[in-house]
Amino acid sequence: MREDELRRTLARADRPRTMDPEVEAATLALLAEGDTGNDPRTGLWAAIAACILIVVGFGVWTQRTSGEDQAAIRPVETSQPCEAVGGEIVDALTEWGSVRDWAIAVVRPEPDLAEVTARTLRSVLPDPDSSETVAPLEAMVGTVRPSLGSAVAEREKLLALALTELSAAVDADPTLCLAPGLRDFEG
Amino acid sequence: MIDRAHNLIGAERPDTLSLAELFTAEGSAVFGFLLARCGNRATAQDLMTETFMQAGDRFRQGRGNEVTPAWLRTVARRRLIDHWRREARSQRRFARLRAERQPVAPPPDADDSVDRALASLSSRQRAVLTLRYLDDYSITEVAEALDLSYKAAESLLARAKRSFADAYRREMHEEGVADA
Repeated sequence: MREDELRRTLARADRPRTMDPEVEAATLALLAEGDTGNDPRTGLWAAIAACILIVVGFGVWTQRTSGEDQAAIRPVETSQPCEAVGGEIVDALTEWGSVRDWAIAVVRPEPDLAEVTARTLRSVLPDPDSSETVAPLEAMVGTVRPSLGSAVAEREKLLALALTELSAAVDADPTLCLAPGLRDFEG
Repeated sequence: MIDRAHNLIGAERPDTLSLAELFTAEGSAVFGFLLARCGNRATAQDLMTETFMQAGDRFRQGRGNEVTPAWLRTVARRRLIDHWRREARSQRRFARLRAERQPVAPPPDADDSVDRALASLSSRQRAVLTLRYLDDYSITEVAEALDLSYKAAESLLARAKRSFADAYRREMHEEGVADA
């Protein structure tokens, strides 16, 4: 393929696209909130966006809680503040049986990845109640920040942060690595 | 909304336009810009939000009139390059985990042969190809943006071009067969 042809072909991909309605509404709400311009309609924008968010949020909540398979899963809601999300993770991880549930909740859109995560966490954290385990978890939670973007991106980010911090904590103090799983995992 | 975008936002943006109105007018274009380059809806939406949050900072500084479509695209591209760099570091660290996630699935709205051919590339191939041919980066600039050596960028670009051309030809052939 010649370069000019390649350029023209690729340009077809660069076009306006429709984003997910809940992301559009959430972004609009954020921008309306932060917009300190002199536009008197700003308040109206915020009110409209808030109404949309409530409706969308209720719909998502209803959908999540309606399926039978949802019963055992602890969802990490994007609207929760940082501390609450961190608390969810610590709570989940300090309950040995719910590690897999946490992994699924965090990366629910990618079940295979959730399985890998669950296996990794099990291999790294064989004794989640010990103080050695709690320290890296606290370090991990300290890095979790609420994302401005979509639920999927936030969950992936949360997972990446969690694994990065766990890995860094174990690197800093090898005695925390109670099983060889993490080193294998890092390749 | 797209038509409105081009009517509302010209080279000289009206000072009275609020940030929310700017998003309504330009959001889908910026999202499309990012989606074409990264191929992942969630990431594109995330970066789009960050781009407009940065625009919000300009508004708060009383410099809202500087936020033009070109400004938005420049900021979006920088965000995307930062994302690629983070992704590369993450991939090096978690090579095995990432390996289990390949290949990247086409985006849900991949209804076009170009989209599908792009979706068949790796994230790095897609990055180098779009920076070079959509954003007119030189190979030196591509290498700098992606933390690669010149030779590595050149080699990656050559592989990306070949992979895209092959995938695109396959897509066109399959479309032809389907039409027949």
